[in-house]
Amino acid sequence: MVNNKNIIASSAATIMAFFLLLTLCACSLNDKYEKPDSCEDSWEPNISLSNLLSLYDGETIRIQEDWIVEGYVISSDREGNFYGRIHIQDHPQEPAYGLELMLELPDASLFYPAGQAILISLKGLYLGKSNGSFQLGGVYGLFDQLKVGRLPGRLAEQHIQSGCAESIAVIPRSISLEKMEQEQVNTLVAVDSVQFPEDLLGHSYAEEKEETSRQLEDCNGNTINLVNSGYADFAPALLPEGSGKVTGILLGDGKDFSLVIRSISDVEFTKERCPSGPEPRSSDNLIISEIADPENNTEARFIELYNAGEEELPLVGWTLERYTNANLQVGVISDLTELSIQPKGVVVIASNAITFEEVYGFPPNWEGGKNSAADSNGDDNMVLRDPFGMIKDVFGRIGADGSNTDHEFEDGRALRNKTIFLGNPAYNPGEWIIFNDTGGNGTINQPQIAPGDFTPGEH
Amino acid sequence: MRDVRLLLDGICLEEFLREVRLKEDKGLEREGLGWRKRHLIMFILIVFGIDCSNTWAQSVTISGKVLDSRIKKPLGDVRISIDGLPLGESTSVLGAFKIQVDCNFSCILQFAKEGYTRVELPIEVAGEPVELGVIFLSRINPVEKQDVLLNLSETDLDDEEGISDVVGLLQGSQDVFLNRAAFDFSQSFFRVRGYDSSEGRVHINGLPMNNLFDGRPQWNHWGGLNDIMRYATRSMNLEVSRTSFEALMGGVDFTIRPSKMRPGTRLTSSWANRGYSTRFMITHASGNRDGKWSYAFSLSRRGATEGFIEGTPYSAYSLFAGLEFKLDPNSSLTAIAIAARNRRGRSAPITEEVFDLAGRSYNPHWGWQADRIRNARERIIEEPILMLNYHRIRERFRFRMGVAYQFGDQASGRLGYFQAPNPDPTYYRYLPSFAINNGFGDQSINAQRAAEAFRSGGQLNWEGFYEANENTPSGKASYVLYSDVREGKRFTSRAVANLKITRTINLDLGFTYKTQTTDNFARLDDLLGAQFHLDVDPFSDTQNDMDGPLEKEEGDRFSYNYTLDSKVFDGFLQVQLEREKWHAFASAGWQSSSYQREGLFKNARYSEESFGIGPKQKFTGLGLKAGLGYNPTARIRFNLRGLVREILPLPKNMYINPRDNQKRISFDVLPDVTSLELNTLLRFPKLTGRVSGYSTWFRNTSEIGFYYTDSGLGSDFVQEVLTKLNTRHRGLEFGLEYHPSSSVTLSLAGTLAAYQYVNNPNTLLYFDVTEADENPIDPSGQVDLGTARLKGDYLARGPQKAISLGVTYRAPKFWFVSTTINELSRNFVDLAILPRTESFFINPENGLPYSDVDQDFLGERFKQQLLPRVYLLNLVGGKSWLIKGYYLGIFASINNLLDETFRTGGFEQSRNGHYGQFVEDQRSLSPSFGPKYWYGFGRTYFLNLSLSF
Repeated sequence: MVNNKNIIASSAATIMAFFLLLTLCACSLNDKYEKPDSCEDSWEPNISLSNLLSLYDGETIRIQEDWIVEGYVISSDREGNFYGRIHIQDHPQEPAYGLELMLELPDASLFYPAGQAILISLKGLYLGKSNGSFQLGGVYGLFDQLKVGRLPGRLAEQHIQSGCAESIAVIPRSISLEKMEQEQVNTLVAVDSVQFPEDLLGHSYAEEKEETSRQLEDCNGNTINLVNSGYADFAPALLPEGSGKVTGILLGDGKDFSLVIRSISDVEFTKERCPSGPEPRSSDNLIISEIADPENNTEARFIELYNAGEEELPLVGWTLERYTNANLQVGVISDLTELSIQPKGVVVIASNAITFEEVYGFPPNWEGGKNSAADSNGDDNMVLRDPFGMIKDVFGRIGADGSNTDHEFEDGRALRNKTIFLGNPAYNPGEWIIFNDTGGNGTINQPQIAPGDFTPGEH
Repeated sequence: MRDVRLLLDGICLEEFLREVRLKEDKGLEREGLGWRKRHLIMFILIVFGIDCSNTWAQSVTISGKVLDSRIKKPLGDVRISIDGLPLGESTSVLGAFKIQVDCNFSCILQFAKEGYTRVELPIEVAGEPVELGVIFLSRINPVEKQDVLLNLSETDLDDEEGISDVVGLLQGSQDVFLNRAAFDFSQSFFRVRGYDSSEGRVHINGLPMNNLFDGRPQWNHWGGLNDIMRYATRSMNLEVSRTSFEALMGGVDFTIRPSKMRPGTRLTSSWANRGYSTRFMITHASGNRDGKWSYAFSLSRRGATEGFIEGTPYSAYSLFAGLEFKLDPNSSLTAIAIAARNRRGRSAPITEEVFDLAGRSYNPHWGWQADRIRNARERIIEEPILMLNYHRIRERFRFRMGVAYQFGDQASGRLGYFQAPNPDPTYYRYLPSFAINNGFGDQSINAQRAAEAFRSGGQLNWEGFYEANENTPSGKASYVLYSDVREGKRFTSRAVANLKITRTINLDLGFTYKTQTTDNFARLDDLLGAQFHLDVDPFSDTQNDMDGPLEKEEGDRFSYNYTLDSKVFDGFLQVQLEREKWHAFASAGWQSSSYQREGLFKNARYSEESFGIGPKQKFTGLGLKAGLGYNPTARIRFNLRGLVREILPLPKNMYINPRDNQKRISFDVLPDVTSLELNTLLRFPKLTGRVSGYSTWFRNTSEIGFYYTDSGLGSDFVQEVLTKLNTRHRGLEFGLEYHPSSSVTLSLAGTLAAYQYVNNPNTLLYFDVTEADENPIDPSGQVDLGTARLKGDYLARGPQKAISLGVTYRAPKFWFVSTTINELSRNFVDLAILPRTESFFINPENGLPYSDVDQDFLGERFKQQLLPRVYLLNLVGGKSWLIKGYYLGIFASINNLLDETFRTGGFEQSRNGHYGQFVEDQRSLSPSFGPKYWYGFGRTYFLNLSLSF
């Protein structure tokens, strides 16, 4: 039994030795991993964004120095409207500059969300400019030229570090569509009181799988394109009807600006649409009251309309047509939508607004331009059409050259009788007093001289 | 010589030895020998073995002469005993002996002399005197090569493909070829005869241990418990086994009985740079004791911060405890518990592009987290086994009965990503080839920078995952670490009886009943800082668990959840005839199995087919095996064996996508296999070995694969189902040893084989169809692609040609050194199926066939790729000392001494499923979806130190 005791004693010793060795080999005994602290070894910025951008001299350059630049992420690919690029600006509220970081990394916003301060290690990156936008990233060659392209995704870790600060809200700069500046490009901006034009309503943000521009307008008619990706989550959503604020990144090259939103929530339309123009309305009381072809100055031609009614008449949808000489086809159509006419009031449409003002001493209501109804040499026929396409008044006979007829006013003037209060779709020379340089057919041969022989603005 | 069978494979030898030892030990006790002396003779280098046949004998006179094997001088004073009982006879000074023995069942004649290896010979007598001739005794060289070798390739054992499981089956075999296969060829995914590891059956105390899901044995269940797994009975290939019907590769039956273990304590320390870097083991066994009880226990610990492949941490503990109660001298009860926990990080196959960038030991599955390696694909296996065995042995009868209960789980870690960039650093969009293949303009600078980035940081960015989760709105996870878990219980019961009916007839029969219930699910292990995971399938954007919560938390089951119930009943009956010059056997095996899936999640992709109890799948099948042996002399022996068997489908190749639905392959005709082998065995004094030829035909088998593809019919994540697949495995095997002197052994072993497809199997694709799918491949959710042109191509089952040349020197002073040079070739790449179907030539843009197919280019690309031939030089050596009863052994090995870089396996990727994309990708110098390869280890070492007392 001594042997057995030996066995027990020695095995006890060896078991102890064994466990001792076990503790020495503590390798990978622990199953649990602690959440890492990502803020170790963070980089220190040593160049400002503006200094960086000032290096650009018109050619794509490779950055050779150990520079670190700090920026705030303002774009986000969370909803798929951005792909392969991250926009950053140099300050969260008052940015002076922004740029586009090109990166082949889908869902980059998981790592670099909007509002995050990031540090970019610049050495080895390329700086360039495209469509007015500074770009930083990888590079590709095209016809012996270097262009900034997307940086391969695996390089992101080497070049980009998330700052340790919590994400902060970047406050967009308010801008107006009337006055946009190149410096604002690549920064986060907000435009207020904008809407989608009426004819876009019912359309989606973007056509499937196609980049689509949708115009935005303010109430003053200033516009900007909202550029949407056909792959964005919100691409099939319908454009909202109201008006309000749009926040996005401003892009553009100084003339053509566009806006790109991060998310559909960047479009905050909580207000009514801009006060819209009046409804198109017809009237029997709108007549052509005076047509002028001054002998002494063909540039001072005009045409005058008179509202014989008791109410203001917006001319939305009204058109004035000129049928030149004996033409059966209409020559020039002038859309009078922008005009409105007071009760017992007139509008004067000049051939040439500047000359008109010089000659008559006041500006016309509108310029019809060359070859319009306002620029007739006296043998053309004029038609006034309401918004619904009905002819409400005419001068002359369509298809008949006016020369030597009862509707020639060459070097003269056609003046509507003051007793006429209703338009007449059939020409009646009895309603007119007509001066010209030939006479006959009830007209008066008495060429007219501007300004004295004409009465624009009065009827 | 007629009654003595000189050993072949030693398969039954150990079994017999233990029986003998039991008796012998008693004898020694009577002689007053101490326990140290007793254990000394356990260190046996088996020089001779015996065939498995139990022999039948009676009183007879035996004579012969004993010589020292090295110096060829007579040995006197050699003690002779029969069945462990000393006869009181010894050899004369001239080495001669003549004894009268009285022998019944399983008689063993022993020759023992201190300092010499004991020789044991089974004898079979028929009343006539037996002249044994010269018997050689070798001086003891107590380096336990066998033992050490058991540890050698263990690092490969839990390879995912199940390939290296074969190693476990082969180690310890005495067959020269199988030994080479286990220790040398295994470095390159070698598979014996090209079979799957499920063709090798593993038993513990007669109870089958192969899994019911894929039929494979799981060696991790007892990994590290080498000391208790050293007693085994093996049958190779179609050889008869007294344990069960077995499969094509044969079987191994480990005997774990404390009373049969070497008494004493054994301490082992190992150092290596393969799978683990350090190992400690301690085993203590009481051995057979006077009392009724004997016991044994073993503990082991293996660990590494990383193995040879980067980022593969290893941590394993194993524990064994066994207790045996002797009911009477002939029967005993054994209770054992085996608990092993194995946790290790896995590696991945890589494309040539990635290899060029990062080398053979690159592994994309890991990254640093706070200065620790974190592997995203760790596998944890923890499935303890409890077992109770009854064992009874009488003169003509052995009966074993046992029940086993196994429980626990296997979990394979994965990194999930949801609406987030693919975390895999080798994802094609992150590689230099992507810039070149997909970029605009000249992308060379980008490509070169992507290459730099990959070289310096091609690992997982764990911090980034936490950061992404933090930045994901509402606390939803973009990245999660989860596990595919198989958690289950298995109950196995079995009874086996071995009978000796007459002197020449043996009868064996056995029955097994197994039930297994597994829960299969994905489990959220780590939300990586997120609050919850949104349980939606990212491919189809559909809900996985419609009746459960949408938001899942750590520890929750998500994605899929189903149970699989399996029941298997089998039986075998076999008869063996043993005659002077010939022997024969015939076995019949019958099996019935049933499987039933129950879906626990109702998913939106298969709302009708995912949830609830599915139909029960029942199969029954028969197998027949027979063999005929003829031995014209004791030196040479031939045998011819054959097998026909119906193969019962296993869940793995029956359920098409069990995670999602109940869909199954219907087996109108059961797969079957036919196999024939012819063996020649040589036992000349200086030349021993085996030469075999075989041919095996598999018919009507099926295979299921999963992948994402851009096919000619559309893009989707698909299940690819091959049915009516016929393959043929045929070849030659040889393993020869030549002994020019007693201290030198030369060996030559190898195989020349062909594992081929012999028909064009049917190909079907299955996929989910949801409302969101604008362009499903087919609205029905499946499409028949017709046949795939595979006929004549080769299976990717490791090298089909392997040759090994070895030399071993055994010094009398108890040291040895051995080296082998191995050539491995004809290793084929696994083929992608889609390019070999007609659908490949359809343009997915318009559904019309491509009109401008470049057949010359395709012809070249479709040629099956061969992995380069490789030469591996391996070296092993060892020495042992016996100091005051303490036995100290040192063993060392170096594999791949020349540090060759080589591919062990590979497969074509299936992503490019139509001609247009395939050609575009293949024409680039660095295709994004080229084949992926596994790479072998470079030069590695293993050092083992053991102390026994």
